[in-house]
Amino acid sequence: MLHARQQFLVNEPTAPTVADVTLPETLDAALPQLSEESIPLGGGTDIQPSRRQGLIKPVRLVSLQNIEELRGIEIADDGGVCIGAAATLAEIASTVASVQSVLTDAIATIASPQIREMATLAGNLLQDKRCWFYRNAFPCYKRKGGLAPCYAIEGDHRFYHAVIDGHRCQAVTPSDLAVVLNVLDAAVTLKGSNHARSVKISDFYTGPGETVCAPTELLTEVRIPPLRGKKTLFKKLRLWEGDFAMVSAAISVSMDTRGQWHDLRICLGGVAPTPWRAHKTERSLEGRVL
Amino acid sequence: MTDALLRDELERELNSVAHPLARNAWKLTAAVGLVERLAEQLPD
Repeated sequence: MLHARQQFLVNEPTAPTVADVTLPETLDAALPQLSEESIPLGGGTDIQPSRRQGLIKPVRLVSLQNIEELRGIEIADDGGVCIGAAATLAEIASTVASVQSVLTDAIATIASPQIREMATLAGNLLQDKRCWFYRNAFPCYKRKGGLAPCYAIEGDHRFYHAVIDGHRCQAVTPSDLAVVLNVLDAAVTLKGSNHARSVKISDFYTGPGETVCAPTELLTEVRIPPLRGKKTLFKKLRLWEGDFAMVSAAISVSMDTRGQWHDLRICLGGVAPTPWRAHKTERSLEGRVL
Repeated sequence: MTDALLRDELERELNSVAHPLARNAWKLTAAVGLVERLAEQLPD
């Protein structure tokens, strides 16, 4: 496939020159700077490669590294957790281990320790799709639109492409935390200059690595309700340590004293354009005993 | 309920909605296997 299409690789994309980088100290100062021409910059572990791959057009970067209010991690008395969008994965893993060990387990499977020290929660949730055709400048449907094809259909789609709901594009949402946060019933807060809204993580994704977050909005925090005795687990199948998921799964369930399952949630990653909930299975197993 | 029931239910649901490409149908089996393993770990 690469051989047949190698003419496209000649046209390697180049990163647009950065016009400026601002370092606002507060959220109120940062929000008015967001526009179609700018993009918020957290750890940069996805944005910087994406820029080099010609996937990010904005030339103005709004760095969030000096905004302390985006880095907090609060654990309420009831076990609910509120995580600032710019908290790093390493900070989250060490802070929430006692109340949300599933998050710590999931984070341990993401990338490398060095990247986890830089990568932020919002960056993980908002990262772009990993399809190697898309990332390597093939003129695919997601890059060119219109009648452009999805090269994964004929090309190597063994590991990182959809088996459910992929149509014009076979890529998947790569975020592992999105899968975990789905079963935890988390919600993200999106803020603009004059508004704020809360969106359930189950409603957050519209396509592979695509969300309802507008260019003028900033993902500021993720709120996770208390577990209240629920058991939650996450597992991920990957080709090598630190790789993106080929398939991942998260499960949460309440078990009563008789062993009956209630409020079962199963979410799969790496199989569909967005994290995929097994709603039928969840309903059919309500009240059953393991 | 047994792990087998969970596996069967999930397999049935996935088979009803999935349309894998030529060489990635194995991911459906893998997904079911991952969930089955998680269910086995839940009582611990």
